[in-house]
Amino acid sequence: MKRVSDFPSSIALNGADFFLLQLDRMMWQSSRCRNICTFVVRLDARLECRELASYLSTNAAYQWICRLRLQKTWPFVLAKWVFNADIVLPAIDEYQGEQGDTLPSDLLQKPFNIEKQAAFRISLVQLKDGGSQLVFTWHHALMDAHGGEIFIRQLGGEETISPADWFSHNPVSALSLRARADIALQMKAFLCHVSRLPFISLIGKKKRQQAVLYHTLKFSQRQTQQMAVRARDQGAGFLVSAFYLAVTSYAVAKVQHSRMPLDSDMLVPIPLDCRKRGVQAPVIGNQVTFLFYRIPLAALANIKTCVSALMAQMKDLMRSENPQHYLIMMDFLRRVPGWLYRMQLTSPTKGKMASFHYSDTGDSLDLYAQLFGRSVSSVIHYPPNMYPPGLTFVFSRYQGALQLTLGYMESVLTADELALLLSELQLGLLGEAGL
Amino acid sequence: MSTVNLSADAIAEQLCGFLRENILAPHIEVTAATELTEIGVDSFSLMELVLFIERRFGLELPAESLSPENIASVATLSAYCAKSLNRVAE
Repeated sequence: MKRVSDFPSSIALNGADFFLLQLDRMMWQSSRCRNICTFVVRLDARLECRELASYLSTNAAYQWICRLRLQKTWPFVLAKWVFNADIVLPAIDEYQGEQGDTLPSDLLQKPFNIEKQAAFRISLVQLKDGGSQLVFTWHHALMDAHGGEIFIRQLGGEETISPADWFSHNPVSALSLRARADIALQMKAFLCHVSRLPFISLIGKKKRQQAVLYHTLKFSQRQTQQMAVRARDQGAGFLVSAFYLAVTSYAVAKVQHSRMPLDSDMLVPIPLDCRKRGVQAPVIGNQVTFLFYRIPLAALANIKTCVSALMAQMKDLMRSENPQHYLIMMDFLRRVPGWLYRMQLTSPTKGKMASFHYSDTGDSLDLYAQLFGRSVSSVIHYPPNMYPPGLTFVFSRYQGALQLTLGYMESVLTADELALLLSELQLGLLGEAGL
Repeated sequence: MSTVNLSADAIAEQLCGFLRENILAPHIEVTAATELTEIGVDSFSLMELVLFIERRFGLELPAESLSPENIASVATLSAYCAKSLNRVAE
């Protein structure tokens, strides 16, 4: 596809998109924040705004995506993105930054109304050391993290996307309506059971408007290799991600324990990429389902028991095709009015939703060596930080080195609790010998 | 389900078939010798493969047995499975 007219004039949200849109609505109602993906690429050499604009002016996909708006729909009608050729493209905001370790607060606080504004934006931060930092933000209902990564590589001239790879062409299910309804009902019963109250939650007193705060932990390649060895020692085998999740759960439990004795389980839903392996497609639309872990209180005693509980649950959930059924349920619920959908989402947990959110984007960032003709020195995802629960961890690896970005709302963690959380994460990941 | 004298090659053929049908994009080629990480097989896909082995051959693979050497390729995984199955059959 080379011309804007080659792209469709509208595209319906899939089940996962609609689910993430409802999370956005809940987030907006409770914290005045949006469900936004933020992806930051640091370039070694300076990229001028006019040069970036010149790249974008010839990119049909960018011009199409930036002219999509979410169309308001009636209940039982599928929500969709609609293209309008008359819309003016969003301006590229330019900022001056220090070393690029923090994002300008103005940038993070920009309004994101996808019915009236573009769902994808680019900001450029010019750094004092001569490099540039590109900050890509997009609404989570448009693309997931991997879709965003592919699109941005295409924008930066590093990847060509074939026409077939932009959108998903496979229907979620060929099952009858009745069969899908049955699966949705079974999933609802499962979700009510797995998310039964009480469970550990750091959620504090709700505030109408909250600041989103971020913290990043970066590890060396050697430390990351040590973690892989430690993961095996803790019983995770090849599933290093299960070890990361166990460490995170244990660290969050420690923070909760500093407030009061632990007396309940932990609820952690984690996203699972549904794409076929070996390709990066499709780009548009979230290709995720979820695994819902409920870590028993007893398993939070140490990291090894936590790993063991997670591994056993993962096998059970995958054996029972739970992730596929959740996908079918999300697709089935696309026509449900938003208010009813949100009520279904929040009622089992009285709005707490989860103990925290977690994702591991794997090694896909390694494909970022160059962008816009410049060498890339770092690349990182910031968490969409869905609230509630307002505490999100994103693990990723870049050139073999683990990086962990924590996003949280100001009401969720105090400064002392943040320090405790970070030290427990480091201790858990590296062990005492590795610190 | 069978636990009787399956050769590593026979297991590898079935594992490749499972990968082609369920895990990999249509144009991705996989043979017994292909390194799994090179074709994008990640830990979740490996878990699906492990569960397939469990269903198809009745062989439960504990996490600690899945060392980097054993899961390097379909051939190494199949060889490990064949060894374990034949041990069970004896």
